[in-house]
Amino acid sequence: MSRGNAQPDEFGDGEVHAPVRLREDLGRLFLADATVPPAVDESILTTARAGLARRWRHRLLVKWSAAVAAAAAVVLVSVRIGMHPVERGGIGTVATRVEDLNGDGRVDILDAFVLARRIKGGDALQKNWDVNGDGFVDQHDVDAIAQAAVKVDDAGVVQ
Amino acid sequence: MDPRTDQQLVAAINAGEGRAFDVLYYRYRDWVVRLARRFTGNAEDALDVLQETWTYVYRKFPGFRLTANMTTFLYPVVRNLSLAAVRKRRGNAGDEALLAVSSPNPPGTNLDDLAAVLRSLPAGQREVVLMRFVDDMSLEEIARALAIPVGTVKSRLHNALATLRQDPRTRAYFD
Repeated sequence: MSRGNAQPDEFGDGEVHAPVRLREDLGRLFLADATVPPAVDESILTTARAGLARRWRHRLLVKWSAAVAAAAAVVLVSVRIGMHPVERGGIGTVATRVEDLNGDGRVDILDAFVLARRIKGGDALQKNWDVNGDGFVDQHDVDAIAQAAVKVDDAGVVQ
Repeated sequence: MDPRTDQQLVAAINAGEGRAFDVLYYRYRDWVVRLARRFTGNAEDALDVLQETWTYVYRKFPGFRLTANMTTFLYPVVRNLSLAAVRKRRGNAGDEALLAVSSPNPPGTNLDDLAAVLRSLPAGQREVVLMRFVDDMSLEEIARALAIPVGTVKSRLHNALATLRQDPRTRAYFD
């Protein structure tokens, strides 16, 4: 960018300028010889090409490994979801019965035991534990759950 | 001559094109050597710095993002590697010694006065004068390369030029 004999410190374009002769003499003083032997170029570029090739291969390996790990994680999670027992009223699952107090997906004597323990312990009792529908949560509901636990199914099999 | 911009070359190198690195190297090789020669004062150290600079550069790939001009990115690299080379040679030379005017006057010229006045400048002023008027870097590029505010660059240049203008040995440049 030539500024001719413009005065220095001109900020018109936001830059600081110096007289042409000063710039020329600074160049003579400091623009050193830049001769580089071809062997030096070759050495630098050979080293760089080998280094770059290693780094590209490494990056590809890292990307591939990450993809495999991610795919394996997806498979593992899918399998675990598939193995999970019918649970506590989650989305897409079989609705749990009100008698299933411990939420394990089954109505059995354990549920009767859980209610009995809570009644005896004076714990807060939930309305939906009124299994027999008499308006109270008490021993009668424990008995109802116990009966449901040993209910004979349609095929005559004790469940 | 490869018409791609520096940004395009960097993208190509990131994508695995080795030839793009060669292009970038040759595009800035002379600039690096001249700068290293200016800092170190000798050709042998300058070539060592050239090699170390491009080793530093290729190790940035893949994944390198060029967020400034290439010269802005390279300047502190060359500077720091040159400092290290000079310290190794001279044993603990400070920045003042490093940035001293080390180039001999070209034969047939009478640049002693200019060299003497430049030597009298504080190192920070001398450095920005050379970056602006020899390396042709903009104020913004100088500021980013040295990690200082643009205002500081302007101030140093202003003060340096004022010294050159007032000194009887270099006043004639401003006539």
